Amino acid sequence: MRPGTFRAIRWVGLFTAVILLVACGLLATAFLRGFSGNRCLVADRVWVVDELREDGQTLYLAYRISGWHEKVEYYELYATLPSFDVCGDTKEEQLDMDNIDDTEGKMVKDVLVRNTKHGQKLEIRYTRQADEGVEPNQAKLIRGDTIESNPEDNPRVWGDE
Amino acid sequence: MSSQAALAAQAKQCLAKAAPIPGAPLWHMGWGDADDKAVMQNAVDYLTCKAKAKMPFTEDEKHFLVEVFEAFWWGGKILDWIPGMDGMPEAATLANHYVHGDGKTLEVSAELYKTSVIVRDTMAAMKAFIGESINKGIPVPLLRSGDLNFMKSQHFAKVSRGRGRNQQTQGHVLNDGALQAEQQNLRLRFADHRFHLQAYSSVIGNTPTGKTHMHTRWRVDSIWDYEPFRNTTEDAKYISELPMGHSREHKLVLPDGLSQYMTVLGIAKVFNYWAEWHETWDF
Repeated sequence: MRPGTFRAIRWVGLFTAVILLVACGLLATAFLRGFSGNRCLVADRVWVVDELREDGQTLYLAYRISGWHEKVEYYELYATLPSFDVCGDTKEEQLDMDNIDDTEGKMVKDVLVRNTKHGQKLEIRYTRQADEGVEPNQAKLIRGDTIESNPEDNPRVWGDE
Repeated sequence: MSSQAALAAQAKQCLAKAAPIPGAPLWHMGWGDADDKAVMQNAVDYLTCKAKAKMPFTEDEKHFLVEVFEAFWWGGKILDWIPGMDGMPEAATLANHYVHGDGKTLEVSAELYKTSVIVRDTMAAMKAFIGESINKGIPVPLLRSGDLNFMKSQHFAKVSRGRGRNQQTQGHVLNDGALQAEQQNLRLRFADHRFHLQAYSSVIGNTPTGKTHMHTRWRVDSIWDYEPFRNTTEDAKYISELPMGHSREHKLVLPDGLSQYMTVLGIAKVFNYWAEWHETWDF
């Protein structure tokens, strides 16, 4: 090997190492900057879709789509207008939530809120009649009768009766 | 207009609004300012249009989509490395396997399931059912969370939907026997939102106190896939929004139909994944 060859290889190696270090540093900065601020990989999508005003109080119905390769839809009930962060989280206290069951051709008809011994509870009413069903983000929040038990204990499908 | 002609017309419209494909999606996802969001979203919207028109993709376009899934891997892993953050190592691995796993079945950590409230509660309910059945002289070598006899039992009622369980912190079991992850458990929610639990049980013997000693192998089998484009209003439901950068302002809107179309293009494959763990217990 000629005397200068080893020195040249050393300089090329050093230069490559510096380039790699800089590249790694930039990538690490981007990744840490990018992901350290978010606690979710995929954000929930959530909207306030209706409100119910009664006796000086307003209840808010939110519709949430959660998950990544398998989505689940929820309705949530709030006593104050919630605002949601980038992940779909809110600091407002949630009074109740229930997930939409869209199996067996069921469609959402509307959403009742009932006073129960456990507080305000949501009851999603379903239908199999196409003209009665609505898109989940267009559901109306309606005041239902006060009941003693949890409304979900006996879920009903409208149209079956 | 025939469906072929409609697709051709749609393809023409897509090509008319072609967007450049960024060369470093990882960088744009990590940095995530308004310009990054615009560059990425324009590319995704263009590719979404092409996927809906069932058009072939260029190599650059395929590479771009694969790199978006690699960004998921980085996101899930980095969240796992940062103290105080909810790590999502399984979701990160599953996303990477979708584009690099060649459709092979993948084993995931049992910890993912064992640490879940709904899994623990359903295991307790299933063990109570198994013990009760054995006491009646009915062996239960295999019990699935969706088995009718279990779902009709009082034990199922404790974990079933609508029994006052808190869906944020406890989760519940749906009417088809699928366990739905508690919403606060992001690690499980992003890796496996809904799944069935199976128990393979055998009697080992009796304990000195006269109890029956049991061994159960618990197992979960799931599939990683995405909903295809249906060209109906349902498509609006199947969208994943990926937070970009530190600003918390921008999110990349990625339709699940585009993720599914990657399997048509041959750059991703649907795969099964599973976890198993063992338990000995008495009743």
